[in-house]
Amino acid sequence: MPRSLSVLGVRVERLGFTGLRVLYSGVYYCVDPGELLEKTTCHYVLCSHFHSRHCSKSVVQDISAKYVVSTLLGTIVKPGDTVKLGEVLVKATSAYSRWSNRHPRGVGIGFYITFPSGLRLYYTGDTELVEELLSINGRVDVLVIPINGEGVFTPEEAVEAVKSIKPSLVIPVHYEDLSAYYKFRDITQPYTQVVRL
Amino acid sequence: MWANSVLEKLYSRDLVIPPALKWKTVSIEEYLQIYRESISDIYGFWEREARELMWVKPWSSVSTGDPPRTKWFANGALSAYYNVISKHRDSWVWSKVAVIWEGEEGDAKVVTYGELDDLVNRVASALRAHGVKPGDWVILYTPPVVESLAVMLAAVKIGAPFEPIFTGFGYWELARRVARRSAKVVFTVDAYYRRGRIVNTLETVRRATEYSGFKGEVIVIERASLPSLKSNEVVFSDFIRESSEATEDYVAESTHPLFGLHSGYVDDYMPITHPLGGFLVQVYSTSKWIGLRPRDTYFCTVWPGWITGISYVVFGPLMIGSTVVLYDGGPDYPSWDRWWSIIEDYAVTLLLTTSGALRVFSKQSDSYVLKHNLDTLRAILVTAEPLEADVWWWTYRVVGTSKSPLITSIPSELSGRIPVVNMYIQSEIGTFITGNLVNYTFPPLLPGSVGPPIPGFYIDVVDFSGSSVIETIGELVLEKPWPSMPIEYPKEYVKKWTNGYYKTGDYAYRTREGYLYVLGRLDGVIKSSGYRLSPGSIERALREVYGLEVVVFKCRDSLRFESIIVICAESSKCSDIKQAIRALLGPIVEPGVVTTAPLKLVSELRSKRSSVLEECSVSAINKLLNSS
Repeated sequence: MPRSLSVLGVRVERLGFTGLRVLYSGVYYCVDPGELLEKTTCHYVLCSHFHSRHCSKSVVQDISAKYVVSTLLGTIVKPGDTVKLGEVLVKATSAYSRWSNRHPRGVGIGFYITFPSGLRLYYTGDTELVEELLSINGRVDVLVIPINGEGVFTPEEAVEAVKSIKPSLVIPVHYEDLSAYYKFRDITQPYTQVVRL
Repeated sequence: MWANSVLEKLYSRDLVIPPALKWKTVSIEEYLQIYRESISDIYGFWEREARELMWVKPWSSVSTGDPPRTKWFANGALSAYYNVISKHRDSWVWSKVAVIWEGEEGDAKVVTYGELDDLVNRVASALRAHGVKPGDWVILYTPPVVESLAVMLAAVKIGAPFEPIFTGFGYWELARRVARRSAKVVFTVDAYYRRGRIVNTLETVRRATEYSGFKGEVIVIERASLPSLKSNEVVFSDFIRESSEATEDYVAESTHPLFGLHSGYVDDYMPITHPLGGFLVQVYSTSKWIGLRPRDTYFCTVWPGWITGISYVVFGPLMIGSTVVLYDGGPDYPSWDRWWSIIEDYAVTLLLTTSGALRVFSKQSDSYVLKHNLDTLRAILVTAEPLEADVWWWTYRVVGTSKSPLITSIPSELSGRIPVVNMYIQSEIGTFITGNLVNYTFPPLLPGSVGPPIPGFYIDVVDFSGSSVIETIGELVLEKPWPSMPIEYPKEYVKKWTNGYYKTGDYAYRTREGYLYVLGRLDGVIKSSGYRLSPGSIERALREVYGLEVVVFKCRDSLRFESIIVICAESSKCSDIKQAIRALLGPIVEPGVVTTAPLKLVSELRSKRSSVLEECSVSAINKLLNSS
């Protein structure tokens, strides 16, 4: 697997189970870094929700609040809110499960991030195929999507999201069993470029 | 004859229908009907294909002049860049990924068609600002990097022909090519990584430009470790920084020079230039036929510097709108599964590689392949040199079966699933001319062969009297000209045209059904690891730079197909010859065996250069010396 992927001047790295570290113009934006937050250089932290593999409350609490964006700590946002972090615009999006109670509505969010270089990265957060996700406004260059079906998209549902959102590139996250990746990759391939990061 | 022993290794009687193409495979009779129709009116066939491109001015005549001076689509005019990139503007292709690049160190980069066009525009504008005009040559000496691809396309955009030179060549070869093309500008990288080590490219370019007396600018793409630059060197990012002015897509006559290469002949490498119109027609059609579609992610392990890389990296896949994967690194770094990992991680659907590479991979443990899931692969395309039947079977079974059963494939038995298609190409011809076509005529595969001729190319095998032969070894020839007939060529190429047909210089064997086996060069030209190498160039370089008299032979090599033998006229300098060749001509030309002989014998042996020694050993050379 590549250790990083650069798109339109933005360098993206994987961070743990589902997270990302994004470098733009010398600033690190960490999305759902989990426990790795303690060992990673992050200038801003974006937490989709507080499950340990995404963001750990105790670890995040130690960071100065102005550098955190979440639904509970730091700059508190709800779906539809927009915050500016350095040069980067972050919009909170809806993320929840319809078919399980793992991710109740109103607890978690996703992030639609706009970089000055023109890149639009959509990190859906832990969600299933909900209506709000399909009505996202604006172009998506890079879609980061969970695929293991545990309160999030199954691989097949994730493909449906890809077909609706039509990103230039998709990075699947939130899986341990590689068979989820292969299933997602093989069905998605004709619709967009898959990158396993 | 040595060609017989090659044929023995290639020959197979088993026709194979891969499960993935079970419903698409045609009978050989159906194929022959399409093929015969195509060659009964070559000009009409290619005229229909040419209409697939966008012409600014239609041609007045499909072809004029007798070969080798045949010109295609006379008086027609078109923009090459429009037909490769600009035509995708305002379509869904514009926002899709055009190129995925991965470096050996593990970092990857992605550019969409729109972003690639933006970069090309900036380079094109900078080239114009630096005085490069239509018809001026642009030279590249780089490994696979996105910027280099953009430079080639920028040259195309402004009507400047380009020549990419393989970084496996040393400074002496680079110097001569820069001088021969009277290049205005040379693009290179500072350095690059191979097997974890830094290769200092800029140093080679500096030696070459000094040796050739080059007076133009050297543009240095930052890749590994930028040193302090000299006065005529400019960093790529600075080169394009001020250039924002949009440049128009240059429209030229069909016979305008598009790109060039130096092709290996017995005495030396010689420049060949391909025309804009005929080449684009030929490469677009063959790219569709070999299986490329807009939704494909296509990994080609051959970089421009060789014809396959130019035709099927710079032009074909981008004309189609596919995504091209470039890998800048060693195939075995950090381990032998690097290529398979790339296929798995980027959902690659088509792989184009060389017989030489597959031969080496087949000698490694199967586990390097089998630990990866390569289910997205639809076909494996192979080229560059003969592909032994056992290597074909290894590729078909181990690489081509993968994990999910398809129709009748059985993954646990590695029974094979997707086609492994071996194809023939030559620098002078410009594109593949033989092979089973995944998106056109696909008769059953014959392992070890290069398939049957591709429709539109009138191919024959003839004996020394020029008569057609079947089931007998002869020479592969083209009976009729092809659209990308070179517009600049050496006298050696002219000599290849006799009695109205073109002699490829390769031994071949044709089966009764029309499948072809290509068996290697019948002259002294060396095919080593897929590279077409000139023995005369080695002799010339050593004479010119070190005053050494040598004669170069080739020998059979189980891994590289052929290897180089150098017989040096006795001198104290002979001991350093391997190192000297590496520096002057590059690592790809390094001989397998070096020995010495009296000067008189060395001169006499030159007339026997077309012989191939069955073994790469001193005893085989002694046998040759004793027979002289």
